[in-house]
Parts: sequence; structure tokens; C-alpha cells
Amino acid sequence: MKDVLQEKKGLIIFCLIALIVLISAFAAYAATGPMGIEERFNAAAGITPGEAEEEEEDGGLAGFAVEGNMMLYMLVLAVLAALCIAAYRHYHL
Amino acid sequence: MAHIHLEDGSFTLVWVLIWWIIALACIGAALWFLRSPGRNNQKLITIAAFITAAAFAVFQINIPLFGGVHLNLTPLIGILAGPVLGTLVVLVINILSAAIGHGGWGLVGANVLVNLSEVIVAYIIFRGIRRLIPDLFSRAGIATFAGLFCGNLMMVAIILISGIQGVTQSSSQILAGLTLIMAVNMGVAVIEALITGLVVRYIGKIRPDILGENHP
Repeated sequence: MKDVLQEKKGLIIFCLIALIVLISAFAAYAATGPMGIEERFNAAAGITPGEAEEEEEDGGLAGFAVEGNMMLYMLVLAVLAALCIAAYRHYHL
Repeated sequence: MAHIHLEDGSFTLVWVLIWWIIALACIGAALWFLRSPGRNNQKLITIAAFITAAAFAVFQINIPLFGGVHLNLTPLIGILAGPVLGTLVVLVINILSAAIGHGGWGLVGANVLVNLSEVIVAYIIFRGIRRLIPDLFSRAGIATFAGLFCGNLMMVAIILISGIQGVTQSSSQILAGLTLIMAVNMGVAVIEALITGLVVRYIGKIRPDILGENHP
């Protein structure tokens, strides 16, 4: 019974934090408007759009896009995957 | 998900070097700890490799939420790999990110410190509230919120201390703008907390030894 109460206590704290954080995030988003990460940083820092380097970004898939070079991303990810396999075979888990 | 998204040249060379030196000192300390006797845990190396690949993969994906954000998985790094190996993991992720064009090279030192604060705080909270909150999902989620909040504070502090070259905004104006970024970032922390909580709970079910949860 004590364990069940403790588990619920954790979930209640988690949900409360999530609620406060989400309300703050939506309020901040309403204040700034729809902006990308770099745009939001530039606006906060006072960097005008002309000063910041324009990055070419594709639309991605349903808005999910890779930041940086796509080919390099895939290459690095493949190398990391190979290293993971090597580490797993050598050190096990 | 705290990450300084400014171009190279935003900070003066002096501040770029200062953040790099502090980051290198942390990395040196982590390497010293790893080489000390009794800390050679080979299983942790495999975990660190996997979490590096996973964090790098999600770090680069721009999520169409609140205008565009990305996840870090740094609290998960802290919980699974610990702060010592976690230091090296965040260094590798930041270097690889800069290499593919996500973030400036000069800001790698500062970003390592931001991510490192997330790793350390998440690790401390996850271990520290074990008796108070035994449930893995909630504990990992709360640790994630705490870690990402501290990472955001660190990000704001680094930018305010360094100053940004060539802008006319006052520190208070920059602080106001960064506070809004921080609030938006924390919104994404909810997703990150859910993911971290679910991953940690799953690992806790199948391999509790990885989390060091064998002896309650």
C-alpha cells in the first residue's frame, strides 16, 4: 500500500511539473510567435536577419527536418551504428 | 533541450576560449576518473556507445513543435552512462553536430558545458530521490525536468556573461528574450521527460542491473 502511494506521489509531482511547464511554454510561444530555433535565438539576441547566415533547410518529412548536412548526418550515424556493434561484440552488455 | 544556437562569431574569441578551456578541464577530469583503478566498467562503455548514437540521431532532428525544436536526451545520458562517461558522450555529440553543420565550432565548448550540466543534474536527481520516489518512470521524468531546467539556466548564464558581439540590445533585453526561449525549450522537456521515463522504466524491467537498481 505504501509503495502504491509512493508511486502515485511520483506521478502526481511529474504531472504537476509537466502542466506548469506546458502552460509556460504555450504562453512563451504565444509571445514569440511561430519561429525556428535559430530565428528565435537571433530575435532574443537582437541579431537582425541580415546579419545571421541564412541556412538552407528543406521542409523535411511532415515538418521533421535534419539540421545540418543530411548526407553527413547519415554517414556519421552509420559510423556510430558500426561502432555500437563493435562495442557490443567486444565488451558485451 | 538547451543548446546555444548562435553562429560562430557571436561570442568574442576570449569567451570562446574561456568556455573551451573550462569544458576541456571537465573532460580532463572525466578522463582522469575513468583511468583511476576500479572505474573500468566495460558494460558502461557499450551503454555509452549506444546512447551516443541515439542522442546524436535525435539531436539533429528538428521537431515541428513550438516553431521548431530538437531533443537532446542528455538526462538519459546522465542516468544511463553517469556523469563521468556522460562528459565524453556530450563532447562527442557536440563535435559531431558541429561537423555536420548544426551549431558553430566556437560554441562547442559552451554547449558541452550546457549539456554537461543537464547530465550531472539529471544523474544527481535520479539517484538522490530514489527513496522518495521509487517509481522509475516518475523519477526519470522529474530528473529530466530538473536537468533540462538547469541546462537552460546554464545556457542563459553563458550568453549573458559572454555578451553577443555587434548587437545593440541591453543585457536585460537579451535576458527577456532568452527567458522566452527557455520557457519554449521547457515545453519540449515534457516530451523528453516522457521518452526518458519510458526508456528508463523499460530498462528497469528487463535489465535493472544497468540502472543499479538491483538492491532497493
